[in-house]
Amino acid sequence: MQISAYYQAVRRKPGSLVPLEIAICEAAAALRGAGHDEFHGYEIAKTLGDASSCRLLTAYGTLYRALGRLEKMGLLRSRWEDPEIPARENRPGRRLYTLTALGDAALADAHAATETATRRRVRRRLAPA
Amino acid sequence: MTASLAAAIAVVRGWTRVYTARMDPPIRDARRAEIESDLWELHEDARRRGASPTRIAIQMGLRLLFGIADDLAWRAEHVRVSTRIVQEALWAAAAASLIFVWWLATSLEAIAPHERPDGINVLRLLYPMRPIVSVPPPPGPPLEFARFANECVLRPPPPPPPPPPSPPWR
Repeated sequence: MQISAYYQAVRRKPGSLVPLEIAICEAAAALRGAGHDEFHGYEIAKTLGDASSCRLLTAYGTLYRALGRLEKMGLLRSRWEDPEIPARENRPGRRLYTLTALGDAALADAHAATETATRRRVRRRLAPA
Repeated sequence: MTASLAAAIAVVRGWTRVYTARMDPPIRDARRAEIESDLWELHEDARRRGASPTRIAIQMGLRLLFGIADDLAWRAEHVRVSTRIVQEALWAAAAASLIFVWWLATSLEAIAPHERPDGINVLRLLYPMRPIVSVPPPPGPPLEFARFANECVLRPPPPPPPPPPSPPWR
């Protein structure tokens, strides 16, 4: 029995993404555009930090919890890299994430929703009182 | 590696151990390995860019600090309670309820053993610990009874005290 099962069900609308999740998907798409199909958590944190020109990177808990949520929603897929590689390079193993097709679609939906909301806001401002 | 950087890494590792303690080994190990990898990547990246160790330590500390709430929430999401524990808790609650009802009944009996009301006294049920005390009637005129060998003699009340003497200057 999972204690937070009820919370998960009522906290948000199904299919909707919070801003951090949208930003992670955007960063993942940007990394893929730069030739990195797979990326690890720190790469995402760095890309998010560069995009927002913020010196402080996303907190450990916030970042990895969001990555876990996205993976559960099917927007990201992850795998642990071959243990021989980190052993050879003398570093800890990386968990590598990939943006799925569902993640692409969710990102497109989020952009469309943002555009619609912006257009509606502008129209409301321009409308005569 | 400076002392501040070593301390920051130790604190992040320690905190990760704390909030992942007693979890399912696959989930626990995955989170610990992911944080370990992030620590290493941050350290290497900052070192390559020529950042001072103190700055890296501050970055690590702040990333830990701002993520504590999410760490705890993540942990809460992964708390699993076995069905056996739920069953035991339900049995304990049922037993406690029975004991409470028994205690309530005996308390009511102790409060009013002689009163056998025709109906249910709702006030007594609501406030079992505070017996409802009826207001006593006002005292009547003082009468003294004396019992002498199976007879009862009514004595008149004692005479009122004499009035105080009037002052000499009147």
